[in-house]
Amino acid sequence: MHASLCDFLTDIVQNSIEAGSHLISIQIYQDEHAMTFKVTDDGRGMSEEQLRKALDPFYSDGVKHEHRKVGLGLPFLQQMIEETGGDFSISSKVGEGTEVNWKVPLDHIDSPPSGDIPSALNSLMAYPGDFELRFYRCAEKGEAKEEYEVNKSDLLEVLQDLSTAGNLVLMKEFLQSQETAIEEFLQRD
Amino acid sequence: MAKMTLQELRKLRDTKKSEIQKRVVDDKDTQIIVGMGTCGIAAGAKEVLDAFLKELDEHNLNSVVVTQTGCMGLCYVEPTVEVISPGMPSVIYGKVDVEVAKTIVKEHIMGNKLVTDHVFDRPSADILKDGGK
Repeated sequence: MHASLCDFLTDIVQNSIEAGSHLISIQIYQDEHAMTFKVTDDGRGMSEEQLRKALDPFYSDGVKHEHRKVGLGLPFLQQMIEETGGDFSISSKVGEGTEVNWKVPLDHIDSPPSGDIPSALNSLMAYPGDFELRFYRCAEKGEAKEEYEVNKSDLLEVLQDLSTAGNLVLMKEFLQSQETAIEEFLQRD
Repeated sequence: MAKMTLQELRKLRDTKKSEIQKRVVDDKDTQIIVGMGTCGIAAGAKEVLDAFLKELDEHNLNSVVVTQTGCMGLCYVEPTVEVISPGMPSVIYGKVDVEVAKTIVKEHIMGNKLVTDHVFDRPSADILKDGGK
């Protein structure tokens, strides 16, 4: 089982990457009580039957690993949501893409910590592949809100290469500064 | 801390680039590939990726390519990391935590010596015996 909400996110976005998506969008909304994640992609999508199987931990399509009998990404997420009393939904259409939504109550005793968002985002932005990744993050407190948006194409334009250690360190610094603004906003009275 | 703008990021990159050009050590052909499948993530691969970046940064090894892949089929020894370095056999290390990541940078990448306790696939046993030399 994954240790943080970011690890669940990384796993689900991995699915989008491996589904051959060109555009992946991640949105994270947070208020005092819950964190809501939304991942949409335009990958190959799944039929109703495939989707049902994808939620079964004892199923894998066998494409990547020939004799493998388990596929735990989505089942892990579903299990965590059941344990914490959150919400989970997934919809998919062959040839069009997949959308996964989940909401985790932050005050439930079994809710995993949110984890290191800049670090998760850094690894997803750097994941090999020619796809666009749009990330939107928003925190709300009453009427006030703090938000930021980062696109992989902008980072790529500035850094030109998202694979060398030097550039990854710079990207992490950039992403951390965006997230720090959210952290400071959430701590403010 | 104020949010960094893309312009500021560009400036930082230009500064770093000029530093790299001044350096003598050539590290651009070295590649670190971290397994980021469900198994890797659950075992802490993200922390390991961060540890590699931190260690490489501390030693100014800015041109090393750090990339990711899905499950390498060695779920029982996650986190797994493949290291490809000039003059060394390509190696898949397993059970890599933050400390092992530091050791790999110091011994394998900077010292051209295998971290034999963590080799789980490639190279063959006879190469392992003499530490990859």
